[in-house]
Amino acid sequence: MNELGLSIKIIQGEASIELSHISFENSAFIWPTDKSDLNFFIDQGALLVPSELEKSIYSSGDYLIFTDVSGIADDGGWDYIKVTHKNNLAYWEVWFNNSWVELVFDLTLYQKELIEIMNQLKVLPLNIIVQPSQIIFPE
Amino acid sequence: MRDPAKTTNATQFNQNVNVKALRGDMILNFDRASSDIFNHITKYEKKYDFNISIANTPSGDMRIFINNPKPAASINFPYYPRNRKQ
Repeated sequence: MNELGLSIKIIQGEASIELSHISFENSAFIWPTDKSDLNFFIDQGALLVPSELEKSIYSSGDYLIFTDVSGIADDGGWDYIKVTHKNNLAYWEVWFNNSWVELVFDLTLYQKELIEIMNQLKVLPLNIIVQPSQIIFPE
Repeated sequence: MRDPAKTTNATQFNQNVNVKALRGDMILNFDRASSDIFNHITKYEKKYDFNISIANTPSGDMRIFINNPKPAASINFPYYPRNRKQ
């Protein structure tokens, strides 16, 4: 079983962060904790897409869960992830670096954790931009 | 324009390709250009009849994305489709 392990990273005030040569200020990101199995993808220049993660809470489908730091999926080679809800498990099938990677999460924990994350995003100060602010889906 | 990501999942230009020259050619002689009004991004597309990418993602397709509100985030890269279900 894989660990989702998500948190909210907020950059605000005078602070900024540079990811893949792009600077971000007054921004919030869904970010994996140290124990998360998603760190592997984030280390490869990915950002988690909040709106797509939210859709995956409620139903199976193809969702752009990872995209490039620029928000342009094809820039980083990111594609839709096939998410399947079955037998109280959430399966992710990720096409990464020319091969399939499968992640499996406990569905109850998956939904609980993502709902908490989405609720945190909803109460952010108005000057904080949830990233990626621009989302260009793959061709 | 920033450098393409140097990650295992991203496409890279073939080292024999003059990226600056291709970029200049694309802006003048694109196959297709479009604007995403919601995201404020202009996209240029062109297909060359030679490989511009590295060996594991061979492609003659190139894309340029001009990020109008954030020019430093603009990017060009060889386009290689990933949604080839196997």
